[in-house]
Amino acid sequence: MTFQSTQDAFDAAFSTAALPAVLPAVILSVGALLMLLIEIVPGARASRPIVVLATLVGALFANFTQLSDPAGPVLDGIYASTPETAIWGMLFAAGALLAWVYSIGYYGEKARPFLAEHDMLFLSAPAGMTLMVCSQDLLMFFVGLELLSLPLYARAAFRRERHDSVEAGLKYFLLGAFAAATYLFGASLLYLATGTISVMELKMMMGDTITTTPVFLAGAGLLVAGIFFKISVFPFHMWVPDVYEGSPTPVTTLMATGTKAAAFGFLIPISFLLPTEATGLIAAIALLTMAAGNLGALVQTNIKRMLAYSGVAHAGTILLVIAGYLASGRDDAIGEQALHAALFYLAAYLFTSTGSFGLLAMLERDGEDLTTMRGIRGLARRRPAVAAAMTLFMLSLGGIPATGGFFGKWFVFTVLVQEGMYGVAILGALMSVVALGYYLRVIVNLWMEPLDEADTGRVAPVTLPAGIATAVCALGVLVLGLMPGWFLDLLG
Amino acid sequence: MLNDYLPILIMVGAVVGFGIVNLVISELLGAKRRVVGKGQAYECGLAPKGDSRMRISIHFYLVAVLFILFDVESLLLLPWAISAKSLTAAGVGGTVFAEVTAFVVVLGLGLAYVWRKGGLTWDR
Repeated sequence: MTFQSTQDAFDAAFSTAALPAVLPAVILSVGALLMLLIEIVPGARASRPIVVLATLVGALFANFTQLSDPAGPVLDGIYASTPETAIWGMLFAAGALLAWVYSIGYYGEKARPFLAEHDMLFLSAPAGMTLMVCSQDLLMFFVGLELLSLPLYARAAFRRERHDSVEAGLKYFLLGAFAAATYLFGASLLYLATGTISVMELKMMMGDTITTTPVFLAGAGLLVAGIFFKISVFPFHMWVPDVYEGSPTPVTTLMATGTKAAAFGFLIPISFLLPTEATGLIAAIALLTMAAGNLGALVQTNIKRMLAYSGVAHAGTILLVIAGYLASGRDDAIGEQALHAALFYLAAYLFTSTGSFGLLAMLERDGEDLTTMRGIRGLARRRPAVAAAMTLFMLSLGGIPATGGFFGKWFVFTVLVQEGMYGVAILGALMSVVALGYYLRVIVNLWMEPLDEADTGRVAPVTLPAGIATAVCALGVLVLGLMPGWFLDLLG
Repeated sequence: MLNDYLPILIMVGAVVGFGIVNLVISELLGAKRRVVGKGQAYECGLAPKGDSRMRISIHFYLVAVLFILFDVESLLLLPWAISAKSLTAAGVGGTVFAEVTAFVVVLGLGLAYVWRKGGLTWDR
């Protein structure tokens, strides 16, 4: 854009409307900085939980105000606040809050002096996620991606006395850096082809002959491949089980839910960059992802690892909406429907996954064995409430009606069926049936196996924070499953 | 047009000539005491042979990160410093100044954190 004067340029870039739009990200960043301040001001350490809670609740509220009165594109069109981004932002804040609550009392003696650093890194993740979904600019997204990723790399290795935790951090970092390079290379090729990195300007160019040039297509492909890594889509899913298993469980919780949601929140709006001919490819990748995730999960004995593979399968399911969107000839209405389907799916997945990982975090506090299939045998007799909550989460992950997971799958497959992709929809539904195999195995182990007498003394007590967080997650799953219309009304 | 490149050609000649002249003069005039250490490849003060996986103090890493941080800070401050007058003339100088201040404060907070945590203490 060209401007007549500095004043014009300034007015275009900054307006008071931008303030409420960027407020959630600002609150989260300020909260993260306050954590550092708390660490260096003598006697301020006691206020750590208050700052975390105030920051995340503040971000939740700031996003909520954007829901009814979104600011739209601000800051010269590089940042946009819409009802969708407001809901994404609320989900990120809620997910971070729940994961943080589960982290209370989780860490051992060696990590405890660094809890302020832990929380500082914890708060910068939702800030990055918010930037990712709100960005209307390929570089802005990258800033958000790194703001999310770098703290996550550090936190994956947070239990540094443990070999698997350090391995998880290093593996995640190296592969993440590789994915970031892929994304940036794609973005620079797109810039080479079109001369812009603005999503809105790219969208206006679609249909031009420029968008069928090899440079443009290579750029779009590399860009999307970089994001595919973050959402752990086949063949970029290899790192997931190791990283999820090695990271501290509260960190895995946020990694599994928030990162995936934020990457999808940007990927679906920019999937117009892909040519419609890619429909079959995306559908095939999605189905292969579901197959890789489900078949991998079937043979796991460690529940944390099983949930990691299950997360891969869920990413594949959500990816199907992009195939549906491309099949429609990149129709905007279908694109919006696809985004809403993914939004609902990930909202349900966030509560479900946070709840199940959180319960694992609570159970493993006293011993690693309890997070294996063997370790939870007969847990229902000792902790019926925990077992009931876990059962609910497993049913939701499996997509059983009356849970949020069911409607998530329903909306995704609706998009496919509308576009006449019956074959893909049937294959996807069959994959979900395969998935039930391992979710039900957890339930069988919880309720129908005899109590392992050797383990009885080691069942972790239910702590109050974890109990409240689990109740919130269970409520979220049920509300989304029984009253999906309420969530859809939020989107208007 | 080729004349424009003449200074570059002279520069290249001077550089190459300087190198050659130095080598020749030291060969002709310099003392020649051959010892083992002199025959080895020069590698920035390190022994050129041995295990490459030696331990290096983590302090070097920290100092390097801090250097990059404040290097980038000055890089971002320069464009603002250059355009500060025109921004003031356009009536937005105060706002931009507040933004730059916020940026510096954030980095300053990071420095205070590193300092307080003992990251700048060399002997520990």
